[in-house]
Amino acid sequence: MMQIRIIGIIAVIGFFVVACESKSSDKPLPIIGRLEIVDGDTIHHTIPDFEFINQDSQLVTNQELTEYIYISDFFFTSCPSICPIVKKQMLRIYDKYKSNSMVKLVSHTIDPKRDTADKLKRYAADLGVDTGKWVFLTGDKESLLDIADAYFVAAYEDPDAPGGFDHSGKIILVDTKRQVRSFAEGTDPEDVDRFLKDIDKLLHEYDSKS
Amino acid sequence: MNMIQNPKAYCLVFLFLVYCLTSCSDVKYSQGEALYLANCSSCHMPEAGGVAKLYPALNDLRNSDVKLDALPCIIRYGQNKDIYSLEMEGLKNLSSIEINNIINYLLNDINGIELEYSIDRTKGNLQNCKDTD
Repeated sequence: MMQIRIIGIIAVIGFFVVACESKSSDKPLPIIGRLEIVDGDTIHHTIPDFEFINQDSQLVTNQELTEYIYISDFFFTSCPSICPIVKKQMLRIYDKYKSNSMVKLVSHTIDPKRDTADKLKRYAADLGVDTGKWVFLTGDKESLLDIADAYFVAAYEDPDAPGGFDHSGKIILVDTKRQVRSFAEGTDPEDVDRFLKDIDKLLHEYDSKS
Repeated sequence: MNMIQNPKAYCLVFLFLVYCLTSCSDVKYSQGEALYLANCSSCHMPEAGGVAKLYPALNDLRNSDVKLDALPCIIRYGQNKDIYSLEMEGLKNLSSIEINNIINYLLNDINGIELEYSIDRTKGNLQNCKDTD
């Protein structure tokens, strides 16, 4: 009877060890989103064209980002709930890749009425970050809420939510081909630990090509 | 069997001492802690480390520009937006005693400043708040 129990325990431990190992495999990051087949070609989900303005009131389109991998999030400056903790995690990512010229960070406000370019500029200054590296975008509200969809972020106006908007605290990793490659829950520092490894993995794809 | 010679008894005494030591390190102002976590921690962070200048840290009040006597008014009426890019909203629903508990939690438990900020001091300061609205 005792032996059966011990074998059972070993089997359970064994299962977890194997399950953990298969997770940390060296497979490349997936390309996230729905596949479409057009004329026999597989088309991956990509971030659509956009036109927003940055903290210096300059126009920013996808064009400015094609040579970079970037980390994106959605927020608003008067957000009283999850935004500060997500920003703290974004700041961690910024600090880690500060000197890596391949990486940019792109934060979108979803409250352009209050978050004007000037407001975002002051916000970035208080955050103490270089806006050449970490861009803050504002613009047309509908376009901002629509593009959140393309990043798989839920964002919508809700008078009952704290601050008037409801949104998820996801942090999104996008490659040079506008493809979404990984996510993190920006409210969970441990999930961001894993996400940092994903960023390294994506950067490695470009290392081996050059 | 003599208890002093029993190794199990030593073990139990040792575990009891460990239990005592760990439970003694509890926070002094637990109501203040609960109020801080409910009202302040999402911006100033659970350990009060803040986020850059955006959400100022509250765990280094010894070296802060903020005067201790300004704390009650800041908690109740918020912080002027001319100082920071973001405006802190006041917690107008908190009573003087609750504000007092938050301050004592910050001073004693977070900053390790052994100072009992009296309720009279909180009430006195609240009477002299400048209207920031």
